[in-house]
Amino acid sequence: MRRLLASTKPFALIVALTLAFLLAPPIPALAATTTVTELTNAGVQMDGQQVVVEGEVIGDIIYADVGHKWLMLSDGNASISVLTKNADAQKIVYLGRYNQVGTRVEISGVFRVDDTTRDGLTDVTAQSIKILDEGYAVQSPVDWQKIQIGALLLVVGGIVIFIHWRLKERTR
Amino acid sequence: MWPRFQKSDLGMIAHYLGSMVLLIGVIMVFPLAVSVIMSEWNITGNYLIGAGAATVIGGLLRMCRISPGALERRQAIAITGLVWIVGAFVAAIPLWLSGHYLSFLDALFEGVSGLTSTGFTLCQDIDHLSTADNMWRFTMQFLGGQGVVVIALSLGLFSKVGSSFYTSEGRNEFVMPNIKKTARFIWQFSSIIVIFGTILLFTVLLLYGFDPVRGFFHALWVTIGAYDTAGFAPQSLSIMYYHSFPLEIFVMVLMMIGAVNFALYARIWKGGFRSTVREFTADIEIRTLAIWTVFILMAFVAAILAGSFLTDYSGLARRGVFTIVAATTNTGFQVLSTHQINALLSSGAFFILVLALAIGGSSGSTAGGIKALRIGIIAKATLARIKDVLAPKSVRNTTGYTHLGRHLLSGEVTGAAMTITILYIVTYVTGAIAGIVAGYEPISATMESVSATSNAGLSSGLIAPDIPVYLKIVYMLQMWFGRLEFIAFLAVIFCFFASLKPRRRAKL
Repeated sequence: MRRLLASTKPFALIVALTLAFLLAPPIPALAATTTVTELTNAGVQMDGQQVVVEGEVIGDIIYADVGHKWLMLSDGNASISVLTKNADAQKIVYLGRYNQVGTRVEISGVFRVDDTTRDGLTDVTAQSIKILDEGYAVQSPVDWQKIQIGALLLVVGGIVIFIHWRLKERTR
Repeated sequence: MWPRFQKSDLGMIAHYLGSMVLLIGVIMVFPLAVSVIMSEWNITGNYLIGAGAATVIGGLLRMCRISPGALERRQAIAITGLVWIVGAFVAAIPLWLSGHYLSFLDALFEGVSGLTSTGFTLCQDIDHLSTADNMWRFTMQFLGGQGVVVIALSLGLFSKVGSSFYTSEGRNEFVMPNIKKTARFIWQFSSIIVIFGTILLFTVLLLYGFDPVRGFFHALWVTIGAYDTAGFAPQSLSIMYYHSFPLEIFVMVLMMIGAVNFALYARIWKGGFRSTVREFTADIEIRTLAIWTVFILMAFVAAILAGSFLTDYSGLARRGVFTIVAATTNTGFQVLSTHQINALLSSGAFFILVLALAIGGSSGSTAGGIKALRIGIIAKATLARIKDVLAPKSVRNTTGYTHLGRHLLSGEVTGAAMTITILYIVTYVTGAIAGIVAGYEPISATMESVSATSNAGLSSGLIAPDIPVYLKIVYMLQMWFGRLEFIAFLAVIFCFFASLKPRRRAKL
């Protein structure tokens, strides 16, 4: 009996594992990271799908509802609204603006081309946010060369206006 | 025989054009100050160069005539026609230096789009544009929306010139006893609206989490864009960026205020409430605009409901209504993404949008397009013609219309309305063909052409830095034609070519 059990054990294990594999609930496929441009261009084809999108958070963090904020994700060519939890929005260090490179994030969430819960907005409802790069502030030094050229032009323009005024006075 | 420009004419035109360029240079003080306040130091130099170039160019142009006399009508028309191009050239200098434009042509396109209050943009990475550059884009739109000439007149720059200047900029009604007062009224009224609009939108943006400084600038820019029915937006997502229904409602109100004739506001300003209501309801332009808006809105809703996009009522009420108001007022603000417009909007709804863009708002307002007044006059003239055909030969009917007083519907009035309408249609078709030849979809090419000519700026996504150079030039010309309502532009062209043709020697 013991020998029989010993001989059937591996077989039972294989059957059990096969059944478990076959009956297991579907695991969502790991989506490949996509860009904002690809996502906005794909539109209907990606509607309602789980996506992983990467980009720079730009502009401002905007109130959505109690517990949620809007982030705007950009890849330089296109941008998209991302609905996040307040706690996730707080992870953003820099917002992409003039003189600031925004925090670079990887967002996993559901893409909707016509989100009926948001009056038809194209958006991503984020489930998780991964910070790839915090971003940084860019210095804006004075461009003295441009200032000098500008000042020179103003002086030349001023001389021309003065000459015109003198000539006009003389003709009176 | 076509009138020719003499050497003395060219001197006069150059002199006054120089004054306009100087004015644009002076106005560059605004973005220059913003760059200093916001510590955007590497932008400061761009505006110094821009203002300096305007001073040199303006000064040299003024030298062409030392003591200018009174302007003749055709000289005034030529100045108005040219100021939009020469002005845009100067205005483009700081934008080009910002590094956000691929070429000077792209910056010039932005200048023309700004000054004609169209709203098309070729700016790259707009979300990282400086506060000073955005300030300049919206200042251009404010200048363009009110009319560069109107602003010059309100400052008393051309006191000797008379009314030729004013009418050549696409405005026909004098709302105050004299031209300077009329120009000042437009300027003051617009300033009041911009101040109130900014306060309102600023409050909304603060509630939505904006920091006060950014909130103030965004409120000011969106107010200018909406009231001047211009359509530049500080962010790439346009009005969608703000995710605020209250803000969208205020923007819609501002767009509608901007699309109504200034002359009617002047009547409200001066007259009592009762007489104002009577005048408003009897005005052919207001009636046409109301009927047209209701009709186009119903058709748009029906076309949307026939498709599968925006079929839920809240989405339709929010995005559908905003889109149609932005189109009928020729503003061009968007609450739908480019993909939604191109791929999800039914072809019927797309076509109705194009129709709304083509007709536009009121004459004498900041809106572009054929204008409701012309459509009303043509419709009334058609009805009068039918009445004439049916009437006995001995009966002669006369028809009148109400627009800032009672007028007779003469053949001259109808002819003028028909001429401008036909010129608009010809330009719409020509631009569409140019887009189709470049390989774009006919419906997209038509939308961009109509949008450019009617100075709307609503885009199906075709306008981008990588479009062919010739198409950029075609759209710039369309924006220019549309803003001047053709006559000033055609007068400049015909006079110029007539001047090139050698005079025939008189036979002895």
